[in-house]
Amino acid sequence: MTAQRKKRIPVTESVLQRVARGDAAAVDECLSQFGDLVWSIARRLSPDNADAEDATQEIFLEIWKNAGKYNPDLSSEATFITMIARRRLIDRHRKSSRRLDTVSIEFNQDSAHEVGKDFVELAEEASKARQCLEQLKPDEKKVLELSIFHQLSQTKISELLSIPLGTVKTHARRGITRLRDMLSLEAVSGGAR
Amino acid sequence: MNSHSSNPTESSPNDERINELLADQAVFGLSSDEAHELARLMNNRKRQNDESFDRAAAAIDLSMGKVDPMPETLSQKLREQGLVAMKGSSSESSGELVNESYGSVTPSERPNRVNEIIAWATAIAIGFVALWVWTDARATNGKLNNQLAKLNDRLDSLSKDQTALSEVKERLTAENQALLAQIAPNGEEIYRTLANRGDVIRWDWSAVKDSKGSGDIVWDEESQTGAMRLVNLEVNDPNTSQYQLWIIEANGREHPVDGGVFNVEKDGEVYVPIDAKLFASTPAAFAITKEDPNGVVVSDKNDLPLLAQGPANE
Repeated sequence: MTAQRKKRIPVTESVLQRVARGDAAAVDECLSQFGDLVWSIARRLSPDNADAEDATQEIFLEIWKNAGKYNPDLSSEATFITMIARRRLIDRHRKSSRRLDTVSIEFNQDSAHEVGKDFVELAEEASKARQCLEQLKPDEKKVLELSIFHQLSQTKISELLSIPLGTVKTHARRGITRLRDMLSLEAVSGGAR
Repeated sequence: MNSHSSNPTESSPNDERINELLADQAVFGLSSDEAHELARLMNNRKRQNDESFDRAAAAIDLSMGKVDPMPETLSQKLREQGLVAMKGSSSESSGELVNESYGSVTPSERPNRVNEIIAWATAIAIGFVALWVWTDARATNGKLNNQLAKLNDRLDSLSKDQTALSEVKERLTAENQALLAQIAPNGEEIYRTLANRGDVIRWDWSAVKDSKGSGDIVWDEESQTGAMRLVNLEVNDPNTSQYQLWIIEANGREHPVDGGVFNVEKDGEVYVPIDAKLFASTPAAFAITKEDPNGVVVSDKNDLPLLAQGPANE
């Protein structure tokens, strides 16, 4: 005879919160909802598929370990997971001798528009970030696109845009600071997450 | 500006540096030196961990990317990895909500005492095996950890070398440019050489709106060289703004060609060589804008003091 004990389940509990509690079923759900997202980011920022697979596994280990730190008041799950993914990939790039810069990467204005579903559907902040990005100065926007989306180094960006290294840093810092402030203002003024 | 304060509620130059490092961390990542510096400053200023820049960077990433399906083999590996991770975590906590089921229990036909002895013996045997496996694994693990630590040290050292080489390259590039500037003809020499030729462009500057300034510009499309003669253009402070020349092509290309960033250091007449960043086809006009220091990739044209157009465009 199987004894089953059912308790109440909170309606608003997120997948990550359930992972943090050790709910095995949440693993599948997390992979279903965010597996492709993590893979896409890892593939874009890795030299090849094998490296991207390693990176994806490392990222999910971090996700399982840090699921308990997710705070729904600060961001969506997609943003939290993307944050973990980016940190892991940046660390890997810094330690790896095979820097993304030295791999033939086609800097293409259309590289953000390949076949596939938009990330932006996964998180409201992404849609807001897209709007806020348009309000930045063109140089700041360009530097952020090259650094964040393509993960190009400051030196590479400096060569590509023919601007001094110090200017690259200034544009990146100003751009990300303004974007952060704009997104924070959106949240405070009631742009619901 | 406040001097350094140990009072965490007052703003200090260290707060500015912390924000710089947090921004760099979110966009490019930090070197180990920078990471140590950030940790030390955060500790001194008693600041909590701040992930707002990282969230902004993540939001930008999400705003631009497309989702591609993960390979099925990888998906399976991650599923197994995740389940192993879950087994290590506890699902028990007051007020937490979980759906549990308990397995059925079938009474055994053996006497309870024998069952108990067998159970204890099995547990002890398993314990000994586990201990043996654990100590063996620890020894292997220890060796691997040592090797990993050595590799990480080597990587850190190579990373520092790479940083040092980049700095040397930057310094040599700057020295090279300085040398080139010394031997290259100056703006006045270029202007005088071209100004009297009949086969080059020579157009007068017109002041736009309330701007001051006049002079003319010469440009040889074939050699892609030219110079500007500027008269009474307002002197600029390079720390707050610089002038930038734009070559607007007649072929209707969307963005004009960057003709170089320059300063006007004195009143009266100055000569400035043109430094086109890309090949410029036949111009329809030249424009001088005032921009942030070091110029911009695309001008918003909010401050455009001088314009020079060909006869057909007047």
